[in-house]
Amino acid sequence: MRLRALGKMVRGELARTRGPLVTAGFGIAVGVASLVFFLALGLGARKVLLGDVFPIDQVELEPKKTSAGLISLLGGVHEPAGIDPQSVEQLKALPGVKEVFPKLRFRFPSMARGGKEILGTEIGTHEMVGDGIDPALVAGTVTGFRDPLETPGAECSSNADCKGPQYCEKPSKAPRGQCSDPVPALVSRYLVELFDHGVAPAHGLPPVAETLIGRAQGVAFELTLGNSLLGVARHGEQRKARVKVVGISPKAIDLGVTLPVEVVRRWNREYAGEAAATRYSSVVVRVGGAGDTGHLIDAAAGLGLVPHDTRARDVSVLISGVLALLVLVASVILAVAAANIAHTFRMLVAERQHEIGLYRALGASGRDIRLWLSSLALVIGTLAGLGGALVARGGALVADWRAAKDLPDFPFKPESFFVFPWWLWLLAIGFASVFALLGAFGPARRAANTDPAQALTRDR
Amino acid sequence: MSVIVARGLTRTFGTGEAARRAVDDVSLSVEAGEVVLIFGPSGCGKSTLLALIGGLDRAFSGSLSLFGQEVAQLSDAALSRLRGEKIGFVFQAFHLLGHLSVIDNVMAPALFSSHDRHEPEVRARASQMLERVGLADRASSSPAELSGGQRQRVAIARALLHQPSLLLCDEPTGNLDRKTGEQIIELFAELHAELGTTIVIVTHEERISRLADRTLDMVDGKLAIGGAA
Repeated sequence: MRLRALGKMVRGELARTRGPLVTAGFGIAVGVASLVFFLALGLGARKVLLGDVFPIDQVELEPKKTSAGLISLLGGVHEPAGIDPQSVEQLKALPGVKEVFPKLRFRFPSMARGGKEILGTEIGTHEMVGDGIDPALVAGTVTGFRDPLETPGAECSSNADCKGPQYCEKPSKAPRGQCSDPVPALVSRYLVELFDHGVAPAHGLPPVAETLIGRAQGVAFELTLGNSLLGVARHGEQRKARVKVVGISPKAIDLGVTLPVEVVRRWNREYAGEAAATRYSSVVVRVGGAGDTGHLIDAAAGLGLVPHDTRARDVSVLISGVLALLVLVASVILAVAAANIAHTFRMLVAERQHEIGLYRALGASGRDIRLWLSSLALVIGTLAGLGGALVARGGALVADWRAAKDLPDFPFKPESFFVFPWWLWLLAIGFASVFALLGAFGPARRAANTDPAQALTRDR
Repeated sequence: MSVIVARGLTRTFGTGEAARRAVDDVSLSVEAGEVVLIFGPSGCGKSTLLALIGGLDRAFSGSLSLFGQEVAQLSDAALSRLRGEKIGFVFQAFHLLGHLSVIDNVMAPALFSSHDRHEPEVRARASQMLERVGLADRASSSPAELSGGQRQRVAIARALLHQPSLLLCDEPTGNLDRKTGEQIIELFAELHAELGTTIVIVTHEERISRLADRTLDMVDGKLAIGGAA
């Protein structure tokens, strides 16, 4: 049968049997709307939890912890194992690995004080934790995050020799230093949320999230190197460096500040020796997809490295489980809708016996009849799928609007709880079409096998 | 050339003791251009025979050849194509599609034909057929608005859309009054004279016999040469 003739027959049937077919399609649309709504919600939750809170496409690996740490602690000195550059190269060569970004933790005591610009009063911490990352890790998301000594300033012996916000970066015991812009720092969203919802209310301070994002370039603080509440560094002299927050990033350490890795390398070398400057505390490995994570973790175990945080995997499993349950519910709705389609088509075929017999007499093959009814089901499925997906999209917009209006602010609260990628629309239409076709399969087969002679004489 | 050749054609309904031979060992040959009338009372099996030789019913034993092709060896698609292209059907109950207009009913066979690609051409041909049966002015009417005779004329126009080589008519005047039936018989005679179409008519009405080149009698599924030809 030609496509045009098929289209004409399908259009004719849609016009003739509009009521029952719309009813049959309604069931499919409800099922698809549920499926798409749940999937979009799941994808939204996955995006926030695995994108912002626990990124899944990247794994932070660190050396396996051993009891040697305790022994060395008893001796008064603890030297973390660290990851050598050779292991970093081996990780880069693993299949599925896209990028490897080494991290260096602060290996010296430090303190911080600042924040007057946004809080109106200075606050500080007597024990500052921090690390250094490759600026490439945040390229494209944060500007100005680079080692300030890439373009060193004039020689100096004190901050008075430097202009504007610059300070004199003069390592311990060095006769002279170089004027340096404040070291750019990243903070985590987690830290900001913790401050806004924990620290700020306790001290009567304003929340900083919006301010910090808006005025990131202006927020500066002073970092004291080589000294903290718990003690002083084994090497080097206490001195101060200027740091400015340039952004909030999921790549930043949860509690502390993250600086360009070369800055931390210099400071570690100054206060903790050469090994602290060359052996990385951890590496962030970015993989091609979540599916590569498992292989990476297995391969890393061979290098004596373990994931720093397994919450991403746990959350991923939890989300997948909940999603599977919701998809199952939607599938049951779709299966019931398919049964409804089957019923409607059975009725339609029974009513059209005589007409089908006539079509066979006029030259239609069994395949033509099957094609006609299957195409009808396909059109109903496609329209119902599209309708269901649009209803789900509408439902999501309403849910987001209500959430924005009624739900209180909470950490990591997203602008939208839903994600509608292009493939979800295709999936909706595909699922609806498949279930409609499944429903129509039996009746279409029966119609194709109609005995035309009997069908034409049945009413006589 | 033989259009239809049947040898020992048998159609049985039911199984075991309930088995009934509606068509019983029928042998028949119809030549191109012939008008053959199969005459018999209701229930004698003539409609079943017509369904067999029209390729609508394949559950037979014996052999049946249409246009030189063994029906038993044809696939469903090939047999359907043969039906669509070479055979036209006219039924007692007209079998018009109520949801379509008169002209769309006449055009219906084109839905399943691979030759009829251009709808305007098909529509023009359907109009010609309606004109030929005297219903050009009713093209856009609904079948429900037509009389019995007019409906049968539409069914004939539909059967002739592809200018079939074989026209199979099952009680074509059975649902019509005497005068309308006469008009339909007259129409068949004219069409046969014009187109030379082979026509097989099954009926229980003797008045049609004047059309026939040959008349066959059917009794209890068996065929015998009649005396009206």
